[in-house]
Amino acid sequence: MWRFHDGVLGGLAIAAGAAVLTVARGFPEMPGEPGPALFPALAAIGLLVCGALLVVTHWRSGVSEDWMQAPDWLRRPRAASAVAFIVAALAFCSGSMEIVGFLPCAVVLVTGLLALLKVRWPVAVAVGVVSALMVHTIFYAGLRVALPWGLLERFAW
Amino acid sequence: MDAVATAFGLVFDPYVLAVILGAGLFGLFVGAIPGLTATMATALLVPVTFFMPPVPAVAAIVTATAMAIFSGDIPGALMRIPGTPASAAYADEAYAMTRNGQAETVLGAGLVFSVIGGLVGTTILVLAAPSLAEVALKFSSFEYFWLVLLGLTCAIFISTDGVLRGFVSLLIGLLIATVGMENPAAYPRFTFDRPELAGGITLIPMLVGLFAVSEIFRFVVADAPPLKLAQDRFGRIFRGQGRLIRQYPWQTVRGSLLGTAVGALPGAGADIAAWISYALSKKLSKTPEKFGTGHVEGVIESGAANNSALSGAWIPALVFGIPGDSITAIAIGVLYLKNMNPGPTIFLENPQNIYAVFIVFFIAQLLMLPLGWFAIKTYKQVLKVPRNVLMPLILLFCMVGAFAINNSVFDIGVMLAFGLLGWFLEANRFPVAPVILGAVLGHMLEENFVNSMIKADGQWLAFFERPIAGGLAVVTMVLWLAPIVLRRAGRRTPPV
Repeated sequence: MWRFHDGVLGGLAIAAGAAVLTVARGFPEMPGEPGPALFPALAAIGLLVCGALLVVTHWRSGVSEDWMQAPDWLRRPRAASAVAFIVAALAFCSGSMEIVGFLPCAVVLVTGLLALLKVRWPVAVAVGVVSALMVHTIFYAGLRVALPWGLLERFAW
Repeated sequence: MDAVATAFGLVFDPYVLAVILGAGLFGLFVGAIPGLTATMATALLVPVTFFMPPVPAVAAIVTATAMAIFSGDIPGALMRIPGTPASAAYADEAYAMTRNGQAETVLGAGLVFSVIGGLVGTTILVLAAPSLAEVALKFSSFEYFWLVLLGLTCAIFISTDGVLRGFVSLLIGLLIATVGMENPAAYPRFTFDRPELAGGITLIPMLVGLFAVSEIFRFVVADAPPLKLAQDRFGRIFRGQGRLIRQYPWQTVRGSLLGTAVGALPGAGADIAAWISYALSKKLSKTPEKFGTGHVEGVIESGAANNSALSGAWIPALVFGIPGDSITAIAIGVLYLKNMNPGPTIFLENPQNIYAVFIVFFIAQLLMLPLGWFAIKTYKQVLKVPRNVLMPLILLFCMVGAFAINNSVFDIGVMLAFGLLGWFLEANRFPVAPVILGAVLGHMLEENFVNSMIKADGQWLAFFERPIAGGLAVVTMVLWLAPIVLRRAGRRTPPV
């Protein structure tokens, strides 16, 4: 993961605090009692203060360092691909699992990641299919979780 | 007495006993694999416990975590890689003992003194929780407000990454708690017109993301070498443990008591208990020079401390609904799901369930002896499970678990977002535990604050007028002001 020095992290905290404060100002007021804006606003002010302290701490330390350190795994294609694959696969499942269905999503997720983690393709496919079917059976049949069938709706049981 | 008899009936049911056994084996396996933590074990268990009655659900969590904390000692002793953060404090010492040909002794000590620590912690939990609950029955929103604030303050000040970073993490957690309509005004805050966010961010996908998915990210980018055992065959691990008990009685008691006390502090879990206990053991030892060379004394004391901390963390969780660590934060979520809302009234309304939880604690500790022995004996085989196959399967399980709570694909996205957040926070040295505490306690803090303000008709002094509330307020403020005063005092002291 990318690492930032305290000055940048403080800046991020200040930006987040300012954004929350701006949104919270739009919340309605409640006559005679604390409104819904009070707590988010207090937390946002806390972030602004902490952010400022992080910036000051970094500035006072006098340490000169790059504002950002890129992770070394970016130079390793397989590791970078695995990270990108997990993010993309989970985002895809979140957006499309109801249409595509659990089983295809699960097979692709497990098989793809296994292959990227240096498991041989035949083994990856076998483990992907078997694990997807097992998890589906445990949760769908055993625990009654409504896992979507999606494209496989006509095979639903 | 009826409630106690009912509790025994609830626990000694074949289904519950099977759950305890299964969760025990699961916990041992997760703890023994480097990179998988006890908190991760708990987060992964939640989707399954969701479909269980209350007692087996809680039993699964209690048993799995106790086993995972112990089994984290095994890779620490055999490979110098702690299986869970709770074993990190004494992994070097334990490995040095293995290198000195004392693997059986250190593994046996890890097991036996974990059991003793766990039993002491559980006894304190059983004795302290009902008494505290009687006091807590008199609490109003004023006391609860200060208690939650005190808990959050402890979480910040105990933070291993510094107060400022702990504070930022806590504020992130508090902001997460503000999402949704669960506020005194029932106004939709930060929902971005998404109906899925109206009820707030669901705790389980968030926890699975923070503790499991982030760990998977760390694994896939790590260029980890294959695991190699310093020794893979073990003789009689219990031989000589009786002598160690007689030789180090005070260390055992001290570690167990300190662990329970540290565990009861919000934000301080088994890992911090072990670090403090190991340091104290070295400081008070008659032979401090032997520490670091393969000396069992520190392993005994901190091994007892980390398991007793688990029980200690349940004291504030059960009595006040304030989690002592990340694991009890998850457990509190499970208690709410099971309508076992934590708080003093649980001892009046559901005493049989609480007694059942206490019985499970004792069973889990005692079961650790045979299961722990089995785990040590078969550890060579456990390591044969390739982690590059295990991690994708865990990711699949995470996805289903996140989905299953609300049958919502949106929660898979929530899990991913928190997985990335957890990874980012850890990489930039922000502690994750305060995020969870803030997210769990945020509602409680706001609700008690608003209720108190309404009761007090806007008069701030009312927050200090009741004796216990006033006392808690003073303690909280002393904690807040102490670092500033100490820093100023430090500046005034002339250099020697």
